[in-house]
Amino acid sequence: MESDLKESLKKVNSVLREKRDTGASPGDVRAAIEDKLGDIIKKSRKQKPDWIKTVLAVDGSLNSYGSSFPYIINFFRSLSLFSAGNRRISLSDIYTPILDMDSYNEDDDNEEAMKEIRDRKMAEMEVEVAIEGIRQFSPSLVIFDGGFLRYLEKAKDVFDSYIRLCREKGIVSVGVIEEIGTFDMARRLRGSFGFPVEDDRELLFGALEPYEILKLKGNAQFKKGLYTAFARPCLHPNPVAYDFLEEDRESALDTVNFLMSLTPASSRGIPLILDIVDGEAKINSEEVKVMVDSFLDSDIKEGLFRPQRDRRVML
Amino acid sequence: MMQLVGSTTEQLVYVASKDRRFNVNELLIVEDNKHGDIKGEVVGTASFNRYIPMAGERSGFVDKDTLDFMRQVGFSIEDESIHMAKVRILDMLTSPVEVGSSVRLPEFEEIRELLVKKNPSEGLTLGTIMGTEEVSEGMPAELKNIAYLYEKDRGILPQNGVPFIFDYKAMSEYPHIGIFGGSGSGKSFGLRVILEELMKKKIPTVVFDPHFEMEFDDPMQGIPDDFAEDFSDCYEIFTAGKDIGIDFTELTQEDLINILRASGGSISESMENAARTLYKNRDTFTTFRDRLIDLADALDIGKDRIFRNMKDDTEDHGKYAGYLGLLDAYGNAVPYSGTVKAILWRLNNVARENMFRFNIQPILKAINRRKTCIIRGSSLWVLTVFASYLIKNLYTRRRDYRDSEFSGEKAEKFPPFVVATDEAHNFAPRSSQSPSKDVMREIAQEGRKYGVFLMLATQRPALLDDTVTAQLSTKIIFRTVRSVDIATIKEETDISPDEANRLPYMASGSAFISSAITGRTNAVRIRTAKTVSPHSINPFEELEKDYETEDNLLKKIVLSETPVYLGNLRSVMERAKEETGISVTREDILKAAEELVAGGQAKKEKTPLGEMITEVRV
Repeated sequence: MESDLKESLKKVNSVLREKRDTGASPGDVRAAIEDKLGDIIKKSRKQKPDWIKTVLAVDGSLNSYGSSFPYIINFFRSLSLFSAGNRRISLSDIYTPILDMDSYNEDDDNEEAMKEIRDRKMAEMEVEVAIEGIRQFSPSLVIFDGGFLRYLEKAKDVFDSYIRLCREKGIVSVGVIEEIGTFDMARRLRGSFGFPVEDDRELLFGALEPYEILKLKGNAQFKKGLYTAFARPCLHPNPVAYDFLEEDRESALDTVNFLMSLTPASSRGIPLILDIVDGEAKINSEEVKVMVDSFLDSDIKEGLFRPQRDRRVML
Repeated sequence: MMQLVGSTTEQLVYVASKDRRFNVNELLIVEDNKHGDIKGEVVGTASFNRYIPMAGERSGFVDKDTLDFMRQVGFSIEDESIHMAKVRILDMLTSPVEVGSSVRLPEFEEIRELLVKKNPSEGLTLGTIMGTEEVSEGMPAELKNIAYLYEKDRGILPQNGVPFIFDYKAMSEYPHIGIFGGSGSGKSFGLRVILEELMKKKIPTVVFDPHFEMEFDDPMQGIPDDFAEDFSDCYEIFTAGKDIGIDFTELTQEDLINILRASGGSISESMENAARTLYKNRDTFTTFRDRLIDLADALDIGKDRIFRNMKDDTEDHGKYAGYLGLLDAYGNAVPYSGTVKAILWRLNNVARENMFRFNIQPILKAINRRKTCIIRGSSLWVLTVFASYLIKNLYTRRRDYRDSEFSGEKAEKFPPFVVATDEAHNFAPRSSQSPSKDVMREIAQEGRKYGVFLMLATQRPALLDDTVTAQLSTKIIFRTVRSVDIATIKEETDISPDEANRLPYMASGSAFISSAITGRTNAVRIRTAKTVSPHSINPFEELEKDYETEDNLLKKIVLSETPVYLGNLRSVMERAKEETGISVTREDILKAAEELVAGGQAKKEKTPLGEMITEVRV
């Protein structure tokens, strides 16, 4: 490795090292959390809650192929898996700006605009398979891969009708967030330790013992209309967050307990059934390549879509 | 649903299914948009479950508690398995099969031509083709219930699959069969099945039976009535030196040399020359042997002493005159008595087995009546010596008859026939000499022309003569473990590397049949034999059955004779001898009596007449 690169990395490590070592002990962090944010509870060993009979797990995946705007094809797949009988509902679609040039202005950043359209479509497709799953199977619990903010922002209309449907049928929804991206808790506790904690993930990392749940006090909620619980569902020190709709707050602890039971001890913290859906929904690049090779004429593919970097000589 | 996945070639594709397990050797139809329906055969299978990975893989393995909770919400992790099959395309294609094509099981009629070349009445029904279990349900009735199966511990099983019917008439174009497999592989069983089929078709066959197992009288236990068959009129058993032998007067010089060579392993050039010189047409065994004895004696005594003896001894004058005659006739060509004695020793080896007391007329008669002849000998050596003579004799008869049809010369009619043997590497070994090797080679190369076919079974194909192996158009290959043998099989057949890899692990009774007649290699479960070898009883079971009872029998006899005075056992001994057929000693009886007392079945008392045994009645 080049020596200046090496030096830079070493420096990053030493800064973080120092921060960790000189910071508050996990005990202090716990004390501050319990004082200001909520209760840390041990996962109960009891059986599955009676009201959870079946679950529906939902995920989506996208991949793209192409050179530069507008010669890009986006591939989408969303999938919901109903636990009883391993039944599946899936949606696939593609989106390419070439067939949708009306949505773009010459002045805008077209790449950005396309990304916006793409993300909206992905979020909508996920909620759609969830709705279809609810219609067909009436599960007790719907598990999404990822938090609810994304659906509220990108697919507001369908998500609203989804929520209405859940309300009608008395179905609880939960979004499992593997990578916590918020910093509200850290901000609130900043100053408690005599050193800055950047975000919630850093705050909780290692602070919770395996199988512990952080149940926030009512006044400690940050996302509007949502209720979030945190936990360390397996041996790995990474904390996981669980988004609920505000109205499902009462069922949250039960649900988190149950989801932790569905999480393999040596995994990265995701319930197994979500891992399964995630794996199946994934559109990998190999698959994209096969589809492109099969259905695009080679002159079109080579002339318009093939990324230039593919043609570089690999050394 | 089954679907083509991954990358494909025009010969090899991968098929995946979520709900159906694949079976090796089963046939599948690929519904390709471009090529139409394509036939393929499964050559390898795998199943895996991503969520129950091997420990250490990716996320490590899913703990039991998690799986329990998944089950509680109705999820079956086991149903998430994916089944894969490696499929070899049987049709000739020039471009790859389309990925994503769906795959289905064939209807029987779609693959009938591929699997069933002949009707059961026109071929040998040897077993069922593996991997055709499901498709066989759509078979016509004439193909059903004609190949029951057998499994150790489970006995006779119904036919499960499309029958493998061997088109034996095509042997006129693609002659000879090799049967390879280690001990316990089912090779002997397979040989038996083929012989049963040949008998059914009344094809004259000569079977060399080194293991004394080729009898067809005892029906297989549990065989269904509609499948059982009586072969007792179809075959005869002959034993060299007992009811068949070598007719010395019919021998040619070559035959004689061959026999001498077989008898001693090899012969020297001087011995061969001597034998040729001394043997005269129309010699009987006695005339030939006496000539040798006299000549050896004459050479030992020497001309001078013979003259002297003739003067002194008028009584033996005639004998010495004869000696002189022999010395005059052969003395120059055969100057040493040692040579003559060596020939004599070899000749006597053969004669000692009573080989020259019989001829092969009974065999000729049986063959002309289209029967199977089982040939045995008191040892493998006797059998090979006799085999070399017999095969050559029969082959010559057949060849002369066929040739006479063209030349117009008269020759006795003689039918086509099959020569079958186990331990064939003894009859035509690769690197050593054997009396029968030359004729085996000749039949391997020329037999087809005359309608003489070989069926050679061996557990060591690597030790079989190359020329012979190369001429075997059909090979039936059972489980083979030795790598040299597997290498030979790979070289001599068209079995694929996948199939070769399976050879060491084949189930007993399963075989690959690679044949120029069928065109492709079939994996076949050999059908159950209809008959069993008389000594197929496990020797250890035999011990328990026949020998344990003898002990018990003796005890029963003693008990029934009680009260018995140990001082006088004569009557018990006589009775025991009568019933068991073997002589029983006083000690045997005493031992049986002691065991009865120890076992509480009898008691021993002292009486004025000595010790007495009485039965204890419960």
